[in-house]
Amino acid sequence: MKFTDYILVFSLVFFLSCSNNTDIQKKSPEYPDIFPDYTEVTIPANIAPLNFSLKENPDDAILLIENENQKIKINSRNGEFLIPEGKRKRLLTEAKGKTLHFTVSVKKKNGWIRYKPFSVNVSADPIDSYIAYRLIPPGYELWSKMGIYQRNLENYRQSAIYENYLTKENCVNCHSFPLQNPDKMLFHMRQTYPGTMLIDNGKIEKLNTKTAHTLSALVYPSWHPSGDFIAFSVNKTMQLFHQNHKNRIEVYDLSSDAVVYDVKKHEITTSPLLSQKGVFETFPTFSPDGETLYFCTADSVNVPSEYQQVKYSLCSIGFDPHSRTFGDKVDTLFNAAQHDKSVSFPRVSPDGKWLMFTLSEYGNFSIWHKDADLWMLNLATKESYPLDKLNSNDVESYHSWSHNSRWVVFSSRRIDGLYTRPFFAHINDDGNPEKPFLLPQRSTKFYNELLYSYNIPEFITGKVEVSKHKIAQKAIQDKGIDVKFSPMSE
Amino acid sequence: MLNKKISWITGLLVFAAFFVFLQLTCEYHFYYIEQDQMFRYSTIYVQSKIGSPGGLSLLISYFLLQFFSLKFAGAALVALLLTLITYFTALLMQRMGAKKEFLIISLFPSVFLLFAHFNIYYHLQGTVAYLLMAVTFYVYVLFTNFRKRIVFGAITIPVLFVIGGSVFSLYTAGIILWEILSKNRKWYVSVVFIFIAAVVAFVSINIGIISSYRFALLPDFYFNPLLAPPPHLLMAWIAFLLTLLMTKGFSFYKKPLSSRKNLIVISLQIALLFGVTYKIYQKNFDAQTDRYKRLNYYFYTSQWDKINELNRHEKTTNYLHLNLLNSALAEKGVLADQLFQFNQNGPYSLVVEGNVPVLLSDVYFTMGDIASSQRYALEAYTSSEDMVNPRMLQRLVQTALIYGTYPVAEKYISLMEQTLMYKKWAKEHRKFLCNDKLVEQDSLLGPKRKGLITEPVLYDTKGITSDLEGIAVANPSDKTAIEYLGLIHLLSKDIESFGGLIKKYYRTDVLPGLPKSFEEALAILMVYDPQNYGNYRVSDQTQLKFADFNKTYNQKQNSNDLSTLMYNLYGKTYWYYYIFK
Repeated sequence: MKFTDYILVFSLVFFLSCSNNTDIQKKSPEYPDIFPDYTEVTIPANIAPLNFSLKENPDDAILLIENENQKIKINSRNGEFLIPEGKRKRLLTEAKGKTLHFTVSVKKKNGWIRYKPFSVNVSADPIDSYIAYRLIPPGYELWSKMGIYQRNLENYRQSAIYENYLTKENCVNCHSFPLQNPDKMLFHMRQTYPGTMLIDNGKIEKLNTKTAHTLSALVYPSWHPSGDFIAFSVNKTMQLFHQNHKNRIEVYDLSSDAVVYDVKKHEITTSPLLSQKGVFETFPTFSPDGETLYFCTADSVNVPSEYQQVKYSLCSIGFDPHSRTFGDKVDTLFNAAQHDKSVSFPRVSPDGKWLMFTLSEYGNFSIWHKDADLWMLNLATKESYPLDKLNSNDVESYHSWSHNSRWVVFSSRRIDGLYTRPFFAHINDDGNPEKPFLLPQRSTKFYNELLYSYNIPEFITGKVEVSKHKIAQKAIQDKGIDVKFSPMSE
Repeated sequence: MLNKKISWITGLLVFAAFFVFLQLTCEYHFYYIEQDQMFRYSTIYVQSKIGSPGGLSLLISYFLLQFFSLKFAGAALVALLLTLITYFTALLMQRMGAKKEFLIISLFPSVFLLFAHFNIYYHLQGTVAYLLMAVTFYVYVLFTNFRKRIVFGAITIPVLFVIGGSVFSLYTAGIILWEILSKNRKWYVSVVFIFIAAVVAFVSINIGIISSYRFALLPDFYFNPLLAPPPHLLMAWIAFLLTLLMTKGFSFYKKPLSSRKNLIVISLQIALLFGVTYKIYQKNFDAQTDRYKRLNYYFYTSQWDKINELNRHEKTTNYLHLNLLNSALAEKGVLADQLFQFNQNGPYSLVVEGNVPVLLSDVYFTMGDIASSQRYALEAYTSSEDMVNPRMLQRLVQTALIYGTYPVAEKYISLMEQTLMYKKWAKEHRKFLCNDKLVEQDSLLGPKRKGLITEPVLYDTKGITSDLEGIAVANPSDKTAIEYLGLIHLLSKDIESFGGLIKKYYRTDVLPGLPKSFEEALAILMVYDPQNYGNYRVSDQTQLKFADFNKTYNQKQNSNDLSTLMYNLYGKTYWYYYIFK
């Protein structure tokens, strides 16, 4: 065959594949019932194909994706629409900043029905190429296998950053990165080979972080933008569970403080304002300029009997990284008493404009609170408001920002009420979100068959390259550096 | 033709011997370990298993394990695997020139392997991988061309790692030994296999798919990684290499054996085989554990009478056994009537403390404590080695249906619908989804839902007794919770708290009448605390019997064998427990 023959055959195949030869008998005024729900969502151009399936089980089904310049036809396989990777790239690259229209037609007994087309907005803002998360079964106290993984958002590839079978199935938790930088991270190991593993461009440190002056080993982390400090909470935590309550489990602090760890000096310091007696301080997080430390604070009450009375406010205190000192006053940004609610997981956007947090009825372990919702605080006006487009009747809890401050990833239990899944949402100039979408998977049955929860989804701008074998060797063989406590400099 | 027939008959005899032995010793063990997997006919499931080192052997083992819930299937399938391993070992021995008289030795690796199956932490994958190794080894020796053999060996070492796991190291050692024993002039070339195997182990460890050389190279790969395997598992590997060595050793004896020597050789091998079998059996068969597995099976299959029967014949003080026995009594509705007909050992006889989540989930479900049952089902599920336990998944479906949390119930149901053995059960439970009326009408789920405590109570803040009281009050028509509650007091000999319970609930909907043990306890209170309990009445029969008990006790107080004497007369009463236990 000559080259021109190939062109002819290719064109014919392309034409046939794009022509819609279904004889539509009826038009439905409703959107098709699909999983995941990608109707009217906003996505980045660099996201993996949004495969979805119909909840009904038709004899045949066709999906037409189109905008003014393109048209793609996809036949369903058992009600599942699998968008080829190549087609996705062409389609989304061209549609950047525009809208794609998805039309689903299904063949039923009485002929073809065309559902109301739905739109997918393709944002011009790119999303960070990876997220890191822990996969852990939702349980009470016991576990076996778990690990910290990373997923390339531009395709479906997941790889392990660390898996606990390398260290006798110990608990690994609280992974954290400074400003979405994949070359620098930390996470904790508990029980067997305990310690905090701090990784900086391939160099691994093991830290023993419990000191005589602090309540516990370091817990919830947040990096200073310089990478020289990390804010942590130290908590004495308890867990109980309900006999019959929508929130199965209660995790609460008996006491807690906020501290800052000096990465270079291996020292922990704190302020009397962050470690007050009779007050719980937790979830510290730095502002992107590194000069403010946000944290949650609540008056201590009798727990567990008064566990529903623990209400955390959102506060802030100044921090001077040069002198390693804290300000002498605490500002309250969201007063729990006023709202009769409780704040957890404050996270500031890298551009410093917004602070997203979780708000629930009480306490700080919002992942088990069905009422937990996401809220936003405008840091310029200090106004806060619920992010209704992101919230559901079920749990919305942990969240993190992309490095361009235009995307958030958050965990939600909206699908089945128990297994946490990562959802993404675009945040527009006004600090308002667009309708979120579920992390796409190659198979639409993936989430139904997965018995692990996505825990602490964190954006990262690239792949974490550290060897998990080296981490394990460090954890097993190294005694670790004993972190010292240093009172705040005067 | 005759030889072929003899081979078949021998093979069948070996299979029959393995089968009978396994069926007699491991029947309930096979039912027990069936719970360690849930083979799903799903692409995602297959992909998730086959991608790891030894993935194919794992998948085959899970495929086989799904049938272990059927009578005879576990013994038959394991016997088949062991027979095939013996067969290929014998073929290898014959290729080395072994005389038929010595072929009994080929049974040794399989016998060691057989006993690995006695341990719940051993993975069937190890036996499947062993067979894959033996077959590959046999194909290897079929190559008469040395160069081709070396190439085949070099390729199959990493392939065996991928499909079989650490068994590749046994294979490597075996084929090198083969080349040395074959007196091949170029045997030293096979040393390259050591290099290949070392690279495989080194790479697998350094990319983090295997945690250490122990798991990369030893049979520990096929055992719970948090525990040390029994020595006979390693012996199964060593025996394979020894078999090759011994075969070579015997092959120096070229002359045909006289029938007398023949008989001696065969007798010696059989004696050794029986000796080894007896020794390992003695060391590894644990009657207590086997009994627990049996009780566990009866409980799972709701054979309550068999549980009672077993305990009637074999008295136990083991809490796990007692928990199952007492739950079976509760399931039959005779807990507080018959409890003291069996040997009891304190309040833990009713509900034990500790890391036994499957048992606790069952016991709490019987009690009607759905929150705890759900908790332990999830704990059992998530802490199991491969994050699976179909029985606990069924429990999670039941508890989710009771709570009306239908989306997660549907998730579990759809997973079970992908299996062969649990599909029917799952489909039957689909009808309950989003149908509160049907759940409430169901004879099992309905009463449990009715017993849910409506007030938000944090478990353990007030203790199990408070929770049981709440359940009993929420659903007075179900007497299980109030009986458990009263019996916890009685087994703790906390007669005062029991009295409080009687005062509060006797002759109410919660406790309209008194079961036997409660009457006996009340009789004590009536006699020793007449001020508070003098107005209560127990049956004339109980009253007379208690008077009799007291009389005998007072008469024989100074007798040396008072306890035995009283046991013979009143051993099945609460009074005996109260005084003598």
